[in-house]
Amino acid sequence: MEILNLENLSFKYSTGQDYAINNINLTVEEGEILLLCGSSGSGKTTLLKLIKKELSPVGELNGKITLFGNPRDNENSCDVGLVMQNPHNQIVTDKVWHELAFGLENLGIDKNTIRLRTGEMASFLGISSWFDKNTSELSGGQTQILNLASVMAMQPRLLLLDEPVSQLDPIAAREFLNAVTRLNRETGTTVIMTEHRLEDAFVLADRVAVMENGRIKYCDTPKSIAEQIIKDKASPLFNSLPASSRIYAMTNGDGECPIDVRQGRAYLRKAFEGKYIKQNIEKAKMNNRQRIIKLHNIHFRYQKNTPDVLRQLDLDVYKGESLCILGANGAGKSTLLRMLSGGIKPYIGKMKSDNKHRISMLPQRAELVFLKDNLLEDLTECCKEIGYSDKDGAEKIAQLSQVFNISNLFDRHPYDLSGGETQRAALTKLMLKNPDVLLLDEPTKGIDPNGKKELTGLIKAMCKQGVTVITVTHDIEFSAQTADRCALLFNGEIISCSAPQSFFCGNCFYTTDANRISRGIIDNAVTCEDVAKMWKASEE
Amino acid sequence: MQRFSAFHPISSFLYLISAVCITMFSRNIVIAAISIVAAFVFYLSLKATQSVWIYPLIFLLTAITNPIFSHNGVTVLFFLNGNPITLEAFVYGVYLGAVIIAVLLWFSCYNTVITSDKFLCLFGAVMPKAALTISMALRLVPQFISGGREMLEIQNSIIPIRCGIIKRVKKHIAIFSCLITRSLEGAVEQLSSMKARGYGLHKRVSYSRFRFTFADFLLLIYTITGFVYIVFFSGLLNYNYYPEMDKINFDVSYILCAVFLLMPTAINLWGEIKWKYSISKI
Repeated sequence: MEILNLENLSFKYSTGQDYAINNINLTVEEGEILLLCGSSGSGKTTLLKLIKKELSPVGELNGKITLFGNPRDNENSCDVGLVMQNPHNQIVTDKVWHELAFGLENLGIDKNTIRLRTGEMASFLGISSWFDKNTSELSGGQTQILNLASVMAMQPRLLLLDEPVSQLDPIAAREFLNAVTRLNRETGTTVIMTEHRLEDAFVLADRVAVMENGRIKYCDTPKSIAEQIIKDKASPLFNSLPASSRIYAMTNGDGECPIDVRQGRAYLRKAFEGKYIKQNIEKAKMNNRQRIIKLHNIHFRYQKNTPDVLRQLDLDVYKGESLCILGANGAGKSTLLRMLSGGIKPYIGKMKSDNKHRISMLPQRAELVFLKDNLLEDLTECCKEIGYSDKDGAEKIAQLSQVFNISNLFDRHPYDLSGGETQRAALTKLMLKNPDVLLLDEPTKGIDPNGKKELTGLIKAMCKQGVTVITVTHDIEFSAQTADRCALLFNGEIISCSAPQSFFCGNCFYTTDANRISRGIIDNAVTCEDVAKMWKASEE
Repeated sequence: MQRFSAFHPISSFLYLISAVCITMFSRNIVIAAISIVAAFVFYLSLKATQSVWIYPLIFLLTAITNPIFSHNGVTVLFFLNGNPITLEAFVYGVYLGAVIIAVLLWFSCYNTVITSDKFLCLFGAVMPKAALTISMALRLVPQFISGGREMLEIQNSIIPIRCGIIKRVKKHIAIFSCLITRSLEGAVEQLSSMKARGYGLHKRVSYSRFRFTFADFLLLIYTITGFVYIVFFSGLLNYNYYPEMDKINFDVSYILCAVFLLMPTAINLWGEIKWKYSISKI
C-alpha cells in the first residue's frame, strides 16, 4: 500500500527567492525505511515538514501530497509522527511517564487506554527502569529515545525523523537507530529519516534518496546509491559513506559496492587474494618532548559517601601533542577534563604541571561560549577583556579568523550558525588568549563528516604551533585520524595509552571500522587511508 | 513500607489537610500536644529527610516571648523589670509554639507524601490546562538553573570574572539575557513538538497514574467523618487561656482525636508488620 505520494511537489518560502523544494516526485510504500540524505540546505527538513500538516512552513506550495491515499489536509494528524533534531527542546513535561502520556492526553483518550499504551511503549523501548524519573535528569540519548517513544505511543502509521541522531554520541546514536529498526521490523511502521551521518543509517535503510538543491537526484537501494556517490567524484557526501564503501572507492574496486563491515571484509579478501600485508607499527615518540602535565595516582569522588569516579589514574601529557581520551558513558571522561582544567582537585594523588599554563576548554555545546548578538562584537569584547589594545585585538582576530575560516560569519548571530561554523567560531574565541592547552569536550557532536575532516586539520595545525590539544570523545574514527596518542578510560582509570595505530590494532571491538574490515587481511591499518596506502603499495 | 504514601492523592491530601486544620482551629493545648506527637511519629515512620532541628528552637522562642510581651492572666509567677509574668501567658506561649511546630511537622510529612506527581494529579482534575503549565514550569526551572550554572562556568573559564562588582553584574546580566534567548528559541521548537503531537486538536484530558481503590474510599470516609466530628461535635476545640485557664477534663473525644491523628502512622506500621510477616514466610 502506498503510504505517501508526492507529485510534482514544489515549495517556495514566503521569504525566499528560490524554490526550496523543486518538482519532487516520490512514492513511499508501507513498511519501508527511506533515508533522505544531502548536504545541509538541500531541502531535506523542508520536505519532512511539508509532509506533517501542522508544521508545514508558510509559503507557496504547488503539486500534490497524498497521505494514505487521501490528500494531506484531510488526514488525521496523529497518523504522522515526527521526532526532531534537538532532543531536549522537544520535551514538554517534567516526568517521563507524563511525557509518554502527553500526546494521548491531547487526543482525549480514556485513562485505562493511556495506562496501557504508555506501559506498552515503555517496555518495548526499555524505558521501564527510568519511567519515574524527571525528564531533566536524562542523558541526551535517553531523551531522544523518550521522544521516539512518546511519538510512537500515539501509534502513527508514518514516522518522520529529522536528523534524530546528529546531537548524540555514536553509541547513543546506534542505540536510537536500533530502536527505530526494531519498531519498523516488528510493527511495520513506515519510516522516513533524514541524516547526514550515513555510516549507521545506510545499513538499515531500504531505499536512499539523495537531495541536492531541492531536487531528488537519485533514489535507489543503498548499494547503488553508494556506487553513484563514488562515481561522482566531487560529491560532498563521499565522506559520509560507510568505511567499507570508502575503502572500495579508494582501492578502485570492482564488483558490488560493500556497505557494512561484513561485506567490506568479503570484498577486501577477494581484492587481496593470497596476499598478507602487515604494516609496521609506528611507536609514539614522546621521549624528546617536554612533559607539561603529569597526573599520578589520582583519586577523586564527588561526595564523601559516593564511589570513586577516578581511581589510580596515571597520565602524562606532552607539549604539542594531540591526545584523545576515549571511554564509555560514565567512565569519568568529563570529570577528568574538569580536573585538567583545574575545576576540581583530587583527594589522593597529585597533578603536577611544569608552569602555570593557560588552559581553554571548548564545551560540548559550543554556542555557550558566546554572549553577544554578533560574532565580531563578541570577539572584540573578549579581546578587550583579555587586555589587548584595540589595534592588537583587531590584528589577532583577523589572523585567527583566517586560520579558522570564519571571516564571512562576522555579522551573524552566534546561535544562527551551523554546528561546524559554531565550533570554528568558538575555537577562535578560545584561541584569543593564546592557550597552551586546549581541552575539547566531545567536539564531533552535531558535526557532519566534512566538518570533522576540517576539525582534524585545525587540531593538527594547532598542535604544530605548540598547543597541546586534549580531546574527550566517543568518536573512534575521529580519534584515529586526529590523535598522536589515544587513551582508554575505563571505570576511572586509564587502562591503555599509546599511538592510535598500536592502540586500535590491539583492540578487537573498540576500534575503527576500517580496522575491523582489514584485520587479518592487512594488519595494523587503522583508517581507510591506511588501507588505500597499503593497497597502492601492494599494486606496485 | 510507607503504605500511607501509596494511597490515592485525593485521600491522602484531604487527610493531611484536615489534620493541619484540626491543629490550627483548636485552641486546646491537649489537642496541640496530641497533634505534635502524632505528626512526629508519622514523620519518623516516613523516614523523611527534611531536617527538623530548628523546630525546638522555634518552640522555645514562642514559649518564652509570649509571657514577656503579654501580661494578661491572673496567676502571677514573678515580676520581670516590674512587669508581671503570668502562668496563663506562659501556657498560651507553649500552646502557640506547639501549634506552630505541629503544623510545620504536618507539612514536612505533606512534602514527603504529596510528590509533584500527586499534586499535579489533584490539580489536573480541576484545571487540566493549568496543570500542564505547572508541569512544564517544573521542567523549565531546573533546566534554566543548570543552564545558567553551566554557562557561568564556561564564561568563567574563558575569562575569569574579575572582582569589581559592576563588571560581575554586567557579566551576569549578559549571561541571563543569553539564557532567555536560548530558552525562547527552545520554546519555538517545543511548540512545534506539542503541535506535532496533536496539542489543541481535541479537548485535553488529564492523565494520572493513580487508581482510586476501595481502600482510598475508606480513608476518604474516615477523614470526613473524623474531621466533622472533631471540629463540630466534640466541643474540644474551644478553650480559654485568659483571664483564667479553663479546666481540662478527661473526655473520650481526646482519645478519638488521638486515634484520628495517629491513623497514618498506624497504616505505615501495619504495612511494615505485613512486610516482615510476608518476608518471614519465604
